[in-house]
Amino acid sequence: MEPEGVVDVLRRLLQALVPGGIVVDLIAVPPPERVEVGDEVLGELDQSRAIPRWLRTAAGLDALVEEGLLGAEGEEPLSVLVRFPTGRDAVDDVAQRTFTRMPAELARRVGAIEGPVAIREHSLVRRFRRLASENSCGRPRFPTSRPGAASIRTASMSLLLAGVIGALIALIAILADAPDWYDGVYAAHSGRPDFFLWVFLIAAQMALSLALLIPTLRIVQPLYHRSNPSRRPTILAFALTISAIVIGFVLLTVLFLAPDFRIAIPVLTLRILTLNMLSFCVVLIGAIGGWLVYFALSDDFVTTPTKASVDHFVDLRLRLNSLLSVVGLILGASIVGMAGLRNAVIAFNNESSAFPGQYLFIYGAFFSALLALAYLPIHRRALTVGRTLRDLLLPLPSGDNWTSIAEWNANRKALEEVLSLDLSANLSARTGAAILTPLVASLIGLLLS
Amino acid sequence: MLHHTAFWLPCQSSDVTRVVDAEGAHLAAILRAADFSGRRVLEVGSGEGRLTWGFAPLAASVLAFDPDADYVAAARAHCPEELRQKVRFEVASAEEIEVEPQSIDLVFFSWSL
Repeated sequence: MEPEGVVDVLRRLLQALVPGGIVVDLIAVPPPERVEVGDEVLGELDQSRAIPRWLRTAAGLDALVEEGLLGAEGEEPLSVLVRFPTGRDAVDDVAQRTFTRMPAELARRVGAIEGPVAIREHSLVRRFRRLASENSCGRPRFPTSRPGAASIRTASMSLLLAGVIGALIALIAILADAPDWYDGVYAAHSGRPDFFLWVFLIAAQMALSLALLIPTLRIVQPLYHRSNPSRRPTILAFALTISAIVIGFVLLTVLFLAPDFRIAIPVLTLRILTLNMLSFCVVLIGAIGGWLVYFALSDDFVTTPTKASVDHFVDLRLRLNSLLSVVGLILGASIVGMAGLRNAVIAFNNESSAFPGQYLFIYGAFFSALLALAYLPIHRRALTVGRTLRDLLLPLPSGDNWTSIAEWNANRKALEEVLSLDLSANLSARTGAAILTPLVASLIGLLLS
Repeated sequence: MLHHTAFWLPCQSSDVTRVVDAEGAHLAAILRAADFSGRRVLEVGSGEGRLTWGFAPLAASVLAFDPDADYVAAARAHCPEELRQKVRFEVASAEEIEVEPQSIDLVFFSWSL
């Protein structure tokens, strides 16, 4: 192919690739190939016509990186031997090539060799990834881009709208048939402030859940598209396991720990359960995103790291932190909603033992522990990959030059900061706060009463 | 530039017998570069399938193109029985390849640009 056409052909071929799909490119690179017999180098091939072509065609993918269609993720240089039974075979082979020739003097010497001859060629394996969409020209949109004021307004409106819809769903689900209650024995109780506080908290929880659904999907969707399809059964198994654990825990607490539990308005039991399940779905999407980050950390950093590897790593860490915050917030809101329910139940039964405070604490502790357990392996993987990146990108300089060692150390610390390997108080506090949100929410909930 | 992709087996287009990449360095490197497991792979410049046989067992499917009809015929002839269901070789240069949009998970260019 003529080098000039490479970019156009590549651009067209990339249409076949799913967003987040991978491109692996194996190319020949300088220096020129050389003829070897055993350990002796006999000479180099004349590739003065081939090398400019290699460089121009290699630049084709680089151009698409510049355009923002591809993200470069790593490369690995190779040195490979092509073996021939005799020198004559090697000479004849090179003679068939279009842009490579063996200099006459070298051909004469090689042709006279009756034993095995090898030609050493140099290759480069490069890995790229198709970025989310052609509209996302430049680097990945999340999280490094700086959206304009218009897009911020649109995003804010979307979140607000989703929040309002979430609150409306909760209010309609709870209050749609409220007039009928006044014919029943619970009419007096449903008019109490405790009941309205609980309804408000449930509505707030649903508003938060639906508002956070949009950014959560935006974070998780590219991770899913980029993920290796062979990982998806594991992700599904993880989601089912987490769901089973949570449902099992809820059933256990309701059926065995609190058999006398009575909700103020019995007809609402199923509706409240359904609303909480909707919130849990958002949590589950966030948890799945966390494990997609885990697998991306396992699968995407297998070649020689480049600056693009650092960008990709930072992107994954930011996504993980965002997902952790989302999950922590929704679980926290659910626990506060449960505290509101506790108040209403106690008011209805007129005794605090109808919903003991320790149940609320158990829920908070359980979800904080579950969050920590789910996050810990991902965090450890991120640290391992980050440290490997750091060590590969900034190996210890050789020699006794202390100035260069001091410079190396400064660069290393800067890179650690970029990769979030140095768990500063700020980062630890943010991560810890997200994990502890359900537990703290349960304590706040106890204060509500 | 396809000259290196086609010589895992004794060369069919000349009397020369040569062995490329006896150490398997190329295949090992591309398997390090990407996980082919479960992927729908498009290979551009497949030659006689020297590298295809290495990653195809892992992939969900492989659509392999090469502009040289002789190489494609050789690849089809040498395709292992267990891979015939998932590997398809076609004659086409990179400019001529037509593939459905967003139907591929991984594109592998082997000295083909």
